[in-house]
Amino acid sequence: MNNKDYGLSKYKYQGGFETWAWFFMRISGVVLLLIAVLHLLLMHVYIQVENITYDVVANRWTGTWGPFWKTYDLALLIFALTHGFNGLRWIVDDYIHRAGWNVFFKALLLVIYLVVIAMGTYTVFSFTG
Amino acid sequence: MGNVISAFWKGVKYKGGPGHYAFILHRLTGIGVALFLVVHIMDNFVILFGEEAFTEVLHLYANPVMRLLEVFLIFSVAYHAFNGLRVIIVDFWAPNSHVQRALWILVWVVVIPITIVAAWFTLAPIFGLR
Ligand code: HEM
Ligand code: HEM
Repeated sequence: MNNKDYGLSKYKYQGGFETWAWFFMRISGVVLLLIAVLHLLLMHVYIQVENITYDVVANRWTGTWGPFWKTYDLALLIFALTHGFNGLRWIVDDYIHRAGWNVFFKALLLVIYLVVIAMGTYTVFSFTG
Repeated sequence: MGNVISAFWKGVKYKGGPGHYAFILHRLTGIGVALFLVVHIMDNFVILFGEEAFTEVLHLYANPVMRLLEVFLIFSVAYHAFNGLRVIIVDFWAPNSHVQRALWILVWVVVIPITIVAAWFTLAPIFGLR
């Protein structure tokens, strides 16, 4: 296995924004390894999905630990979405070479990214119970 | 669109060894989790419309088919996370091929138990177990 055969190492050497994006994918990956996997363990093993109700979520967000879980969910939102959508942008560059369509799909990704991040942030901040 | 599909198939049929299949699966699970995330932010948004509306959304997830997809999601996150860690380690430390092989096996040693445990916790209630 030669690490030049897979992965997106090409971005590592381009300089500027793409190098920064390449490092961001690694750093956010390590952060997500902790917070996304813990989110799943919490929901499936600790709370258990059949016990999730409106009250459970309301208690998590407005109870004593509310500010902690709101910050946690906000971090998960921003890291997972930014990491995921930068990944999708790379995939568009890999498969869609016609200039017009390439710009079209990347613009579409950017719009979805901004709308969804706004919705998620609004949910966390405006929920009062 | 046809071009995109044939380019993708060329990628799948390309014989690049385990590193190549690792990459394809990493890509597919990344896309899948990102799509789920968009839906997930929207289902959470419904909590702002009150208890009744949110309970209805939670009921959609209680369907056995959805629970099965959930296990698939957990597998996807687990594989993507631990294979991602392997990619990061190989990128920064470029260990020799024996270590790379061991890392690739280690990914599955971690991912398979996580998937089994998650499947038990998620699916057992459907069968009245636990
Ligand atoms: C849980 C911990 C995670 C880790 C350790 C991780 C790690 C990585 C790494 C290292 C890459 C770059 C791969 C390369 O350069 O070849 C990557 C790509 C990607 N990730 Fe993640 N990731 C994680 C979570 C997520 C999540 C939650 C999503 C979805 C929201 C996601 C979506 C993607 C996508 C779409 C790509 C692009 C794949 C490609 O270009 O083939 N990742 N991930
Ligand atoms: C099927 C498995 C999952 C279940 C049952 C689940 C459950 C939940 C619940 C109940 C909440 C409400 C907030 C809270 O109680 O803390 C939440 C929020 C959240 N989850 Fe998940 N989750 C799952 C998978 C995921 C995955 C894989 C990701 C990341 C890729 C994720 C990212 C988030 C984010 C970002 C929020 C905050 C949403 C917002 O800002 O409105 N979840 N999740």
